[in-house]
Amino acid sequence: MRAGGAAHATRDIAAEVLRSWIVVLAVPMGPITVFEITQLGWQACFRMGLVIQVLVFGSFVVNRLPSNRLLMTLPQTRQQAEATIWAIGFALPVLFVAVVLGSAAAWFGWHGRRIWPALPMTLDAAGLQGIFVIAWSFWPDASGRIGWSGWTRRTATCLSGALYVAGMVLVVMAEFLPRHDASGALALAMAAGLPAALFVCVRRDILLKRHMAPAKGAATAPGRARGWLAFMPVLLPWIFINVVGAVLVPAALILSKKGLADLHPIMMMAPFMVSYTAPMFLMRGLRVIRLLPISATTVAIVLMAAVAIGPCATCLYLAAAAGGTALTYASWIMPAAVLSLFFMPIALRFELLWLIAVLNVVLVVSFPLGPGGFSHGALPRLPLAGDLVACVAAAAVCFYWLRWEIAGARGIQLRAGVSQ
Amino acid sequence: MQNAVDVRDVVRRQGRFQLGPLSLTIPAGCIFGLIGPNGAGKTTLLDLICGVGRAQSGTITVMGMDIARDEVAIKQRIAYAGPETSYLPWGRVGRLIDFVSGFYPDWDDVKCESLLEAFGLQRSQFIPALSFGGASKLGLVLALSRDPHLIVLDEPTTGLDPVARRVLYAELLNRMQRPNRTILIATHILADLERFADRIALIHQGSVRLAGDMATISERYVQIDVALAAGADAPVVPGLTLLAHLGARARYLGDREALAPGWESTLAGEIVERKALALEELYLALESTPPVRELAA
Repeated sequence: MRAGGAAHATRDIAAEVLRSWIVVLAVPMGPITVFEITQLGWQACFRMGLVIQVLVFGSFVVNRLPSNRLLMTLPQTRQQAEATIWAIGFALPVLFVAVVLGSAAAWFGWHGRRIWPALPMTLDAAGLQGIFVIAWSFWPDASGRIGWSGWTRRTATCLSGALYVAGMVLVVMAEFLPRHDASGALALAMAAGLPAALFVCVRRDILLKRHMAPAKGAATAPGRARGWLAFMPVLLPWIFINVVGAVLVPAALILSKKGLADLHPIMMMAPFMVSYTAPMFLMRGLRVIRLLPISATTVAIVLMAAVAIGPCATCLYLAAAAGGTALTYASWIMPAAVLSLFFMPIALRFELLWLIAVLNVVLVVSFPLGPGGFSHGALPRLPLAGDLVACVAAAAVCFYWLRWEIAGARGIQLRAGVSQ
Repeated sequence: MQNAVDVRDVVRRQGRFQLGPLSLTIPAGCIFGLIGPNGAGKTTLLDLICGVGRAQSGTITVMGMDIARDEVAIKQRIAYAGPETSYLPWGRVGRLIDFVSGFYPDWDDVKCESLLEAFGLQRSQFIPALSFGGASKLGLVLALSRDPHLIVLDEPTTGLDPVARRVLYAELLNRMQRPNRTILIATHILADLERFADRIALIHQGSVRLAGDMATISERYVQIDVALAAGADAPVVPGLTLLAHLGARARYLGDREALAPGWESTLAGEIVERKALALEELYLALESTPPVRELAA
């Protein structure tokens, strides 16, 4: 083996990690800024930002996991290769989360706040990170091979599951149960519901099987109408899950008389996390979809719909949580839709993510520009005109940009589809 | 007869790579082979023809329709299979087929089942568990379970075993029995093209280097071995491309269209052999520049 070979591999791996970290730092700045300027408070900002960071980081990490096969073929032992994958995919994010949350706990303590809530958050975040990574390790790489195998996956699965469950139990015990209100039960339901929801997403055929498949020979208009139906098995589970979430989370908030800032990030992010998989699914199969006899406009609409499901549900949560008018909180739909795009870098190139980041910054800046700004309350109360203008502009930008991408003016290059 | 595909002055830039300006005509009713080195732009060109991506300039018409204006109508008449396509999100073979089939009114379930059987696939199979060749077969099943006017195949035999390749070409030849059906294949298996293709185009660095029907191309080029006079350099003759030179022997690729009458007299040597080239030999001759100066002993 050439000495340079191992050094080169190490350098490449280090570069991958570095790139992921850059994104971790750069991308969540938008949502964090939103929470800062909307005066939701540092804690909410921190929680939301943290989860976003973890998820974005996880996405980028798992985006690298397809190179498992490459790593395995490098001139190193299988143990070294697995250790590398472990380090990139699991240990580093956990370490990152632990360090950040440790610092945050110290910060809270310094300011006389409760320190220990950081612990369950740490555990949850670490566990979720692990679950995401592991879940993706079950996806095959471009050549169709499964990523991890053997003890690596089993150990990581057990550890992540244990972290997640421990964190969730601690949260429920500490923040809900002592108050003896109904929200404890709902929180438990959510804790149990999330894995169930994820399971449903993965095995959506259990719910829908072929019932939604377009009927052969049906008297529908050729092509498009049947095509729209064909997308429903993809979209319906996410709609279902988010509607359920849109009832559970506000109910928990209302019953427990808690504010948005007290909302546990897991609950807040649950619809995002679940919805994440819808556009991800579509984007991974985008080449197939682009070859279908449907226009780029149709694909863009479907993609936007998939992307918007989670944020729409989140808007309902926020509206219920703060008791504001629906229209006020509708102003969150498009920014939230854009935010949710953060969660689909799996299949996309870096440029796409950066473009989203820029869009996000534009949206963040557009908020305070609206007449009235956000002066009071837990959520910004923007006058409708400003909201609508911002929403329509953001929607138009997103739509035309997506259409532009899908039509191929720039050309989305999928992980398994980079070609010349 | 209307052309199946008309590509006119198309330019498509992707980073440092630029396809074109490129013009190419693919007549209807033929098997058209697209060959060229890796990275030449074959897949990009196929993508543009299929409406996956847009050219920055130029026009592409498919069966008389503009790809930019009649994208959906064109896609209904095209079938595509290529190695770049990922079917993983659909999980199982049957679910993918159910999804895709709904978009095509001319989808033939019976044909689909027979193709699945011929390629040894089952609807219940888990797509991620398919071999590389299995995934290629799945793409072919999706493409051939209809009756498209234009079948676009990007390296369709990659990963296929010899039996599956035979099934594929038998199926393609069967398709050609129907009127106005066209098949466009990009492949590196030149022996297959030599047997089946009516016309070919060689793409090189984003441009068409050579295009025409197989018979004309075969007639146009010839390999010429020359025994040189003692101490003489390999002569430079318009229409002759030096392929190799070792001692007193030189091997040329002769282009009959470019050779002037009486060119033999300008050679400082004697022609010892003229040989018609197989497609693969011609490809190697055209692509192997600069010439090999030393022949293997």
